[in-house]
Amino acid sequence: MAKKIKTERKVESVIRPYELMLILSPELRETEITKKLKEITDMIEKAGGKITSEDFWGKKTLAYKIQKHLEGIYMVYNTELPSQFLTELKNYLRIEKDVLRSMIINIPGDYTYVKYDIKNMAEEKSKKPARTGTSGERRNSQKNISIKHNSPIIQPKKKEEVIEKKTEDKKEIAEEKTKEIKDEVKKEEKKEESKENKERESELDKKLDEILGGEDLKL
Amino acid sequence: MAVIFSTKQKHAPGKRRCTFCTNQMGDIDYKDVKTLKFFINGFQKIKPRYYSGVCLRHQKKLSTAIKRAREMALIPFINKYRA
Repeated sequence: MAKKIKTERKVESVIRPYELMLILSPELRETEITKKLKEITDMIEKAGGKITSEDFWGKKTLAYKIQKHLEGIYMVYNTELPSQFLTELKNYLRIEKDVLRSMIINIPGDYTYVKYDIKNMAEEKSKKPARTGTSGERRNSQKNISIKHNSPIIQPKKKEEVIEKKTEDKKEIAEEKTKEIKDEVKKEEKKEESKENKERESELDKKLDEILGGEDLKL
Repeated sequence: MAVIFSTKQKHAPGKRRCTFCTNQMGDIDYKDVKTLKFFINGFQKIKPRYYSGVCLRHQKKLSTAIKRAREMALIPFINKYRA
């Protein structure tokens, strides 16, 4: 029996554009995030790749739980990678602990990155005005607004409020005069206290920065 | 691109047009969650073509975009409030 000779097929690595999306775990601090992302970018540049654009989305709520996390830190890269390097990168990202999920996809050569404001998506829904009154009233009120910008329903309410305010103002003026004298005495006392408080706060902030700024801190 | 999608568009019978073709959108991005949500059911399923009126070429691109967005947790796989 003749031995089978293994013939190694040489495949030329072609540089192609790809898009890389990462979800990092939300427990990372800012210094740790920059450290982790630099590791990945350095790895790409070592292999002969190039990063054309990058976009940091920040912390965002996930649509479902991933490894018991409700939030994730999103990062998107547009890169040009040698095609043989892909398997190495995928393996690295799979084993990495702080990367919750990753995806690499092909993109066409003339691709231009478009930014979408995904954070505002969730806020728009919650901003919808609460429903009041019956369905018939709602329709009528909407019609009035669309035709006349100054709807007649709102105006009379304002007048009533103005009259009430006037009566209140007269009473308040008398009270304010007596208050002003008392306040002047109090203000001088407060100024001395506030200066002391600010000094204390600034000292505390500096101490906290020193403790938290250390990169190699482990809790 | 500020393209407004709506599922309430009503065309004359036999004259339904694909919303992507009319707005001249070639590719559909998986990061564009706002447009993808118009083609998703209340049960978070992909709407069939005979409801949304999308042409076949764009429906195939749309389904890949939705599946990619699901994988990256931008869109849920199933409804959260279902038992």
